[in-house]
Amino acid sequence: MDTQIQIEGNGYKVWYQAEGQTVVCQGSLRLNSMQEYNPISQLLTQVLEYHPGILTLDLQELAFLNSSGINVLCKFVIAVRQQKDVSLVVQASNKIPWQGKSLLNLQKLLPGLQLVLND
Amino acid sequence: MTVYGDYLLAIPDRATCLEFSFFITPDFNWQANNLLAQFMADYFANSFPTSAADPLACHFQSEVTDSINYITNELLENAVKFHCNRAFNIKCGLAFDQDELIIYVANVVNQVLGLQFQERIDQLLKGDPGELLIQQIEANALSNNNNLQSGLGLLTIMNDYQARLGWKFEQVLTIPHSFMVTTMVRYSGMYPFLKKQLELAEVSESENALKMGAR
Repeated sequence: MDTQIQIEGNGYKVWYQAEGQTVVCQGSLRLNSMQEYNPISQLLTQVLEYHPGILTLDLQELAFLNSSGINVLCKFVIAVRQQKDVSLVVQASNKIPWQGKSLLNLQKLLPGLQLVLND
Repeated sequence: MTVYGDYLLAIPDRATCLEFSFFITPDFNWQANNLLAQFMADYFANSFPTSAADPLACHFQSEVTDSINYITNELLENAVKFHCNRAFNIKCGLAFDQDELIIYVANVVNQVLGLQFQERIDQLLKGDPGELLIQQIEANALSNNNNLQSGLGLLTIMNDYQARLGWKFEQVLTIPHSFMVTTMVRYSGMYPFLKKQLELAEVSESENALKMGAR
């Protein structure tokens, strides 16, 4: 199945920028259940198949993420951990309080993950 | 009635309270959770206007508001998913006073689910939230079943937001084999800010009373 490289829904947008090897998540993600997150999970899996070397996850404009969405990010980080040939950089924002709290868990899953909290 | 964890049976009279009671239909719009959570967070923020000249107060206010939004949304999502009797309303409330901020949600669950939930609560109260969270995440990563719940909502509230949780289980006389479950979150992570704002309001209130008395 061909995975979309850009997903847009009610109040959110997720896409992959080949230049800079960056997945950008924007808006507010409050989808109901893991099933509704499937297209986003598939996009992330597809990106890993490119073996990007260094991959950036840009969350600086992701204002809200519910726990199902946190689960999707965590699963992705574990997939990166298993792949071994990808280094992950997470660009986050100090202006969005949830990011300083919940993204620290990603580093526990993948100690080499670089979490950058920008002002 | 059975109570678990840090459940507070009586909310202080002086607390500011908001409570919503709503029924859900088969075509319930999931976005309504978001609407209510955001409203509660906005109501709180508007109760304590902060000056842009005070960046620390703005920071604390944004922290508390964002926390209310996340916590309320998680509790509502769970309640809507597991509510088993449409004749009963779901209740969702926010209360705050000088000591703490409380968010609670009540819904009806069937007996089987209620008993499973009691076992889960037991695990949550006995274990370390940080360790349980990582264990749950690792277990989720091994599963390909998309119908499963992530099980991360309450754990993130406990670990990431450092909040205390409590539950009340009550029998519903009119619906056999079911429980009314109230989940309560007691949050004081960013409380110094709120305490300061409320004390300032009280000082100005007592100054006004003194002025009135002097007349």
